[in-house]
Amino acid sequence: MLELSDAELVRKTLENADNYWLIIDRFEQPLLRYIGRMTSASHEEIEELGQIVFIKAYRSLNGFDTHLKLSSWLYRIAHNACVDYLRKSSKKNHVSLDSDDTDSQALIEKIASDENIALYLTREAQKDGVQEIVHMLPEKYRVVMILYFLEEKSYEEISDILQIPVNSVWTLLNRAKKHFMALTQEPQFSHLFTYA
Amino acid sequence: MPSIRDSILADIHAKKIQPRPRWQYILLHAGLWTSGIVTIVLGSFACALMILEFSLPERAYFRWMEMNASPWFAALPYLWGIGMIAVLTIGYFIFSKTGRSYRFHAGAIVVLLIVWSFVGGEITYISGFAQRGDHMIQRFQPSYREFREGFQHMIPRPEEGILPLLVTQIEWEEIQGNGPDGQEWQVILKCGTDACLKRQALILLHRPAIFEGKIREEHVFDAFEVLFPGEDLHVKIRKNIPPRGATVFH
Repeated sequence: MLELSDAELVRKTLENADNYWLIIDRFEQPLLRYIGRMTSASHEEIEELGQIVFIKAYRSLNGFDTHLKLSSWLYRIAHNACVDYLRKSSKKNHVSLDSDDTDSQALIEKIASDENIALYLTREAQKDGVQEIVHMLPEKYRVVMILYFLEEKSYEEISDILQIPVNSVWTLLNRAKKHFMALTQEPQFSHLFTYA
Repeated sequence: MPSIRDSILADIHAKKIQPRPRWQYILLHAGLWTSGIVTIVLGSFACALMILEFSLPERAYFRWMEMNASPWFAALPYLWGIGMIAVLTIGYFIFSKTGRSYRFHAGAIVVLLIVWSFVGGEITYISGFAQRGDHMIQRFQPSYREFREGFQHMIPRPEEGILPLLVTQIEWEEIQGNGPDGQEWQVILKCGTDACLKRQALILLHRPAIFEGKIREEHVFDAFEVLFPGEDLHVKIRKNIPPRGATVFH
């Protein structure tokens, strides 16, 4: 089947609610994964949050701006739902990479291959160390790193998701990287990283 | 991870969930654009009137406002400000959910509105709408009309001792410019350059000024005093103090 455009997906859903499965099928997995990375909730809670996100999106479908990417719009709703969830629960400081065992390794590889960090960080950095450092990052840096390195979103998409100017995304990401690098030099982590 | 598709669709059907009506979003967008346009129109008109006022020698409107503050006209700048707040507020509510305003800073939007208002004001002034607006204010505000007519009767009469001039050239104790009759006038400063012009001489060039004195010969005027835009002439008019040159002819 030809892949429908975002506008067509929305139009079809508005014509018939049953067509909403087209949107759900396309975005369910990445959104649930993102919710997991953001909240480190249980599978049941992630699914529940996913349902809330899709229902909210369905209610607001008429307000979808076709200039935006549908994925960015859904990520934004998911992000807000995650923030609400974290605010209500006691998991404020538990944004983690636990939902997927490959996350830490992926993050190491992507951070290591980033042009600003590649010179200093080797790929031998320990997974646990990275995870702990990511835990220690302030939430705003953690979120932007997850979106950029793990969700592979562009600056513009992150701007749409977090509702901040593109320049601020750039600034946040740079600060996040610097913060990350500074933490790798802390005594408890320095033995895990080798610098060029 | 099992699909949540079926439970979502079942939920939508069971709870009869509907997307919010499209008109709500259209109304919000219409509100944003309307308040934006109204803000710029109000701002343009206010700016055009300001430009008109600054180009007039006596700044009659400003002075009339000081004496007869009309709530509507006095409120114009505030309406402009309120319009801007409305644009930003509606914009925030719309774009925080559906659009991209977060890609711009609120400050940038305010600056844009102000710049557009000034550009609109310049266009409004050049196209003559400010003058029409001025006439309209005169029509609806008799006190302003009387105030303005006071200047109009007094100003364009060099034979009565008052010469309004658009200054084109300044030399030592001599000024040239275009008079109310469209002819070039030569003004000889009898009060001494330092006393008449002081530091304001530099800003006089290519601007309107009013000279008190008497006609020496055709298109030559002896000036005893230079009145800069907005200075004492209106006081003299309202107090019926004849300008110095006028006594020469009466």
